[in-house]
Amino acid sequence: MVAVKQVAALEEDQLPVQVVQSLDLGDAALELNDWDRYALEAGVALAEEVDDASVVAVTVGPAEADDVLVESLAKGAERAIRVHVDTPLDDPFAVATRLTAVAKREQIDLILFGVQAADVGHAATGVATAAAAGMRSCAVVRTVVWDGAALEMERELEGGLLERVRLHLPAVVTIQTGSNRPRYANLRAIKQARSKPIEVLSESELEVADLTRRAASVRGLRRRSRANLATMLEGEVAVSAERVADLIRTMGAA
Amino acid sequence: MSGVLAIVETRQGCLREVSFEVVEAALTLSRAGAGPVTAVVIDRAAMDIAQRLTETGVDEVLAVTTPVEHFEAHVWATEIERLVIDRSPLVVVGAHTVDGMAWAPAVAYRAGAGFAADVVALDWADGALQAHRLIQGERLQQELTFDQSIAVVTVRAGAFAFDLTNDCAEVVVTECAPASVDAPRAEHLCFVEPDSDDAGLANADFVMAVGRGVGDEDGLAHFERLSEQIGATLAVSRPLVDAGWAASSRQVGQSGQTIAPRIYLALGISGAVQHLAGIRGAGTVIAVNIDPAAPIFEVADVAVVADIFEFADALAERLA
Repeated sequence: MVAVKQVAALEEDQLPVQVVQSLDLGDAALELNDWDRYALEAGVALAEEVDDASVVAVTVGPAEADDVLVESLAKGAERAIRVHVDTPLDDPFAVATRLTAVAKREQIDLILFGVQAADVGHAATGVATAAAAGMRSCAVVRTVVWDGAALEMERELEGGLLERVRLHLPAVVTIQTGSNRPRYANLRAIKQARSKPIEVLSESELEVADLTRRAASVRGLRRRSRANLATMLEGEVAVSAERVADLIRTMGAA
Repeated sequence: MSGVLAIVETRQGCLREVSFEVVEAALTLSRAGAGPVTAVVIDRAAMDIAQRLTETGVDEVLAVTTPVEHFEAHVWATEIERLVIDRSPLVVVGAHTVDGMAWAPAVAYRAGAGFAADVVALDWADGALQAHRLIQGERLQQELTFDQSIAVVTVRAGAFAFDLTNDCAEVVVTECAPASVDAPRAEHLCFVEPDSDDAGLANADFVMAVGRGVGDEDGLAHFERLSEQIGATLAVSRPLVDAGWAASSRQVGQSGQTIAPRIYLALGISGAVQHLAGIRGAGTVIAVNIDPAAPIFEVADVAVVADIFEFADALAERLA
């Protein structure tokens, strides 16, 4: 199972000016979360190598989120499931309970997630899902290889240090960007993927354990106050370049 | 219910410096009324490592000596969950690091606790916790509250500065037997040290770093030539390594190198927090970006809003 999320990338002028309780996504550009592209590639590559393995792409989202499932199907997922919710869910625990219900229903051995969502970035949904599902987990992984009995992986630690670990199934692994080269789905593949069925499940038919579970409540969202201590140079490039060149020369670096 | 647990981080037998920031975050809550702070060290060498925390202002230091040689998420989570049950803290604080991401959400989920990761500020008022974090490319601040009576939070490195010069009363370390009799779930095989500093970034005086703004591999090559012309060592941000255009030995940031050159010229780098973590010690930061709202401008000494190709060519003409 590869868990994918459709994230909204808001432009500057789409950000709220006042304090709000939730974001109006309006015309925001929606796309497959960058980290999830790498998770999907890792899943499809594993399924290609291992007999009897296939990828089911799963998302929790409203109807628009079908787009990321179509993209997943176009890139090699065999099946796709959407847990329907009316508005996008950002809370990692709320998403985890719903994904766990799908994993149980589908009798999943391995769930791949991207390390984090580009929009909200808790980097927690994968590990929370493992906890909810009673599975082992390994977070921030670069390479994943099946050695016939277990997964061999590299955790990407700070400063470029890597740790090689071995993990038995059932397990959840969260995949870091740059782990692989995500394959590209051309228009033809997308078109073919659109004709494949996406299974849409409601929360009630999934028998989600605790629909109210959430990590936190959002009391407010506001523009971040920016401390601007820099000397700002705008205008003529030649003028800015001269000033910076001067500075660099003065500091003796050139 | 009272008190704050500060879960410190260790690696390869040593305390990781971010641990002091975890302690500071916990002390912040304590000063506001959340109760006493217990610093918790979970490690095979916990007793030794714990000595570094005895004069940090915490009320108690607990050393949990595990039989496991390296961090393992299940073992750490089991120990922390046992402490949560035994001590009923109001808040458990950890670091938003690779290890933190492995244990904190699991502990919070299983304990029925509230949770927030990568927190940049914490408040405690009227017996309740508020956590502040950044979303949407660091442009929006989220204020979170929690329904549960206990919350687990992880703090962003660099957000809570610990004053090492503060004179604090010394506390004694209490040793604690490990709870966990389960075997670790993930088996540690080995560490792989990062590539040697082939790019010469560690000691470079003048570093020119480029990011996504270069556009493509040809763009990067253009800047590579420019860096040679102006006598700067070339560095890159993560996306260029992920794309396969540059070697990881050139990467500056949280998962790459941390450097402190006298001059850091950043071109087409937006300033993602993971990148900025790699240049906290840099001298003069000159940032060039077409986007006037680029987060890097907040840490830059000189901010240039311009097309990076135009600017770099103009600069090279003047410096070469």
